[in-house]
Amino acid sequence: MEWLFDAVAAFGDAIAQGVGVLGTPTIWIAIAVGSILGIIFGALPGIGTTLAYALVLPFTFGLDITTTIVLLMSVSVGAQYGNSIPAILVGVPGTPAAALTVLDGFALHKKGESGFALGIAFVSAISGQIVSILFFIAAIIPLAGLAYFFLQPELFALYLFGLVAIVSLTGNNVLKGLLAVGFGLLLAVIGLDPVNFTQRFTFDLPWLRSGIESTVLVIGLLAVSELFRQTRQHFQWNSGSTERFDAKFPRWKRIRPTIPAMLGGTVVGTLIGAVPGAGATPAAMIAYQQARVTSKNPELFGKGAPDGIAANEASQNASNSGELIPTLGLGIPGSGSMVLLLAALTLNGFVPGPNLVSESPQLFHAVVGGLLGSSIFIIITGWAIARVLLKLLTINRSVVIVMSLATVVVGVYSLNYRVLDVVLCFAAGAIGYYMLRYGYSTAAAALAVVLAAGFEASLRRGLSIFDDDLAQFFGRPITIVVIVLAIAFLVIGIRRTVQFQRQQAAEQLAAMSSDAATTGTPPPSLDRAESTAPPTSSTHTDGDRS
Amino acid sequence: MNKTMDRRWDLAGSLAVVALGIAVIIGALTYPTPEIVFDAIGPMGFPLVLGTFLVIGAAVVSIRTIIGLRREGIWAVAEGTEDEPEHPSVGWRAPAIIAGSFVYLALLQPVGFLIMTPIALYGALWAMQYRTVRWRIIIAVAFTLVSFVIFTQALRVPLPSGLLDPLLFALGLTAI
Repeated sequence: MEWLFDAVAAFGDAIAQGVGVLGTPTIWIAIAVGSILGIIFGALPGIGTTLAYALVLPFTFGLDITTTIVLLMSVSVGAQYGNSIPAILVGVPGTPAAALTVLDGFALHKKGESGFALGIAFVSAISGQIVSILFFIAAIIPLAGLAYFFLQPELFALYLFGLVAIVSLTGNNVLKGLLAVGFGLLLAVIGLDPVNFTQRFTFDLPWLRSGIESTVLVIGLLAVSELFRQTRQHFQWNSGSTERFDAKFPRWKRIRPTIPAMLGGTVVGTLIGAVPGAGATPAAMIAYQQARVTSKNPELFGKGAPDGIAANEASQNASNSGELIPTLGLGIPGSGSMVLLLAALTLNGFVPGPNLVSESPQLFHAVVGGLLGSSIFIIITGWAIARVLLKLLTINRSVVIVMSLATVVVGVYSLNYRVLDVVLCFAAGAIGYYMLRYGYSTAAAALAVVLAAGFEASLRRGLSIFDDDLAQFFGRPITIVVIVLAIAFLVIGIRRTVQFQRQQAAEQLAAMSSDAATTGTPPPSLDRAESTAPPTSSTHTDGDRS
Repeated sequence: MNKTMDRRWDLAGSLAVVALGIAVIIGALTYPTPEIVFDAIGPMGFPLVLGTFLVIGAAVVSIRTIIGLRREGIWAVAEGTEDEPEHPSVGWRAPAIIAGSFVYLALLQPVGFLIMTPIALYGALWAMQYRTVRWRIIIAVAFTLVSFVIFTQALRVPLPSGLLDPLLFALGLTAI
C-alpha cells in the first residue's frame, strides 16, 4: 500500500507545483497572449498548432523556459478550441481535426442551434483538456521513475523507436519516410561531432563550424514548407462570414446528456495522442466513431448529433496532453508541434530523453500549469472571444499565408540577428515543399534533426562504455524490448505502404476495366497499361504540377 | 484516387538523394579521421552509414519510379500532401514565391528591411492575386512599419537598415 500513498502524494505534488507556476502576473500574461493567439491560429484555416508554434517560437527566446512552455501550452489549448468556431459557424474546419465537427456542428447551426453547438464544443474542449491533464500526470510520474534504468543503449533504442514510429504512422511510403529521417540526421551531422568535437562537412566555412541551429531547420521544414505548399492554391473566398454572433449559451440540462461522449473522447484522445505520429486528427476520427457506436441515436451522426461534437472536441484537446506524454516522459515527440517544443527545450540547454522530467521537474510543472491556466482562461473568456473571432474570420487566407511567411522572416532573424539563418530556414522550407509534395515526411526529417545528436552520441558513448561489445550493448532487456517495438512499428509502416500500393493497383485496374466496358475493348493488364492517360484531378488550372 | 504526382519529378528527387549519398560517402572516406581511443565508430562512421543508406534507399525508390513510369506513365497517385479541394492550384506560383523569397533575402542586408519588405510583400500579394493595388500597398506598408517598430523599438532587434542606415541613425530609430 505504501507505493499507492507515494503515487497519490506525487500526483498531488505535481498538481500543487503546477498551480504554483500560476502565481506570477507574467505567467498570466503569457497564458492570455498564448490562448488568444492559439484561438486565432486555430480558427484560421491552414494554420493549426504546428504552424502556430513555429510562428510564436522565435519570439520566446528572450523568455525563461517556464514562461516559454506556458505560452506554448496555451497556444495548443487555444488552437484546439478555436478550430471548432469556424467549423460550426461557417462550415470550414480551422484544422483537419475539426473536419468532423463541421458535419454535426454546421448542421446544428443551419437548424438555428448555433448556441447549442458552440456550447457543447466549449464545454467538451475544456473538460477534455482538464481531465486529460490528470491522465498526463498519471502517465508521466511512473515514466520519470523509470528514467534511471535508461543508460546509453536504452537511450539509443528509444531514439531509434521515436524515429521509426513517426515514419511508420505517417505517409504512404515507409522507404521515403526513412530517407527523410536519413536526410534530417545528415543535416544535423554538419558541424561539431558530439563525441570528440571533430568538424564534419563544414567546408572551412566559419558559419558552419558550430553546425546549423536545429530550430532554424525545424521551422523551415515544418512551417515554411507548408506555407509554400499553400501558396500553390488560389483562395478566392474569404474564410469567414460577416454574420452577427447572437448565439446564447445553452442550458446545462441540454449539455448533460453528452457527458459520456465527452469522457469517451477524452480517454481516446489521450491514448491516441500518446502514440508517436498519431496526433489530434486520428484521435478525433476514432473518438467520433466510438461515440457513434455507443450512441443511442447513431442515425443523427453527420446530421447534427451533439454526441459527435462532444466526442470530437474532447478528444482533440485531450490529444494535447497525450502528445506530451512521450515528448516529456521519453523525449520522443510524436507530432510537428512537439518537435518544435523539443527544439525550444534543446535551445535552452535541455537534452531530450527519459531523464528530462526527473532532472528538470520544472518543465513538467510548467506544462501542468500552462494547460491548467489556459483552460481556466478560456473558461472565463472563451465565449466572448468567439464573438470577436467571427470578425477576424473575414481575413483573406492569401493574406494570412503571406503575413505568416513575413513573420517567419523577422522571427528567425531575431534569433541571432543573422539573415543567413533566414536563408537556411527558407532553404529547408523549399526542400520541405518538395518533400511534402512527393511523400517524404517533413515531420520525420525535423524530428531527426532534433534527435540526431543524442542518437549518435548514445550509440558511440554506449559502445565505448561496453568496450565495443555489440552483444552487451544490444542485449540489455529494456533495449531489446524497445528495439522489438521499433521493428513492430516498422512492420506496420511496411504493411501500410504495401496496402497503399495494392489499393492503387486495384483502382487502376478497375478504372481500366470501366474504360474497356465503355469502349468495348478488352481491359489491358497492368503490365501493358499505356502511360499517356491524363491526370484526373480537377483542382488544377494548368499542367505544371511541380 | 486522383493521379496528381508527376513521376519525372519524383525520379529527379530520388536521383538527387542518390547523388547526395555518394557525395557524403566520398566526403566521409576522404576526411582525415583523428585516432581516438574507445571510439570504434569514429566521427565519420555515422555519416558513412547515413550516406550508404541514402544511396541504397533512394536507388530503390528510383528503380520503382522508373518501373512505374514505363508501366503506368507519368502520373501517379499522390504520395505526399495533396492540394485542398475546391481551391484551384497554380503550378508556377510556389516555385516563383520560393525564388522571390531568396531574391528578397539576398537584398535584405544591403538594401534594408524598410525598402525590401514592402516590395516583397506587394509582390507576394500580387502573385496570390489578392484584391486591388491599393489594398496590397496598404497591407505591405502597414506590416512593414508595425513589425519594424515592434522589433527595433520594443524588442531591440536591429533589423537590417541598409541604404536607410544614415537616416534611421539620425532619427534614432536603429535598435543598437
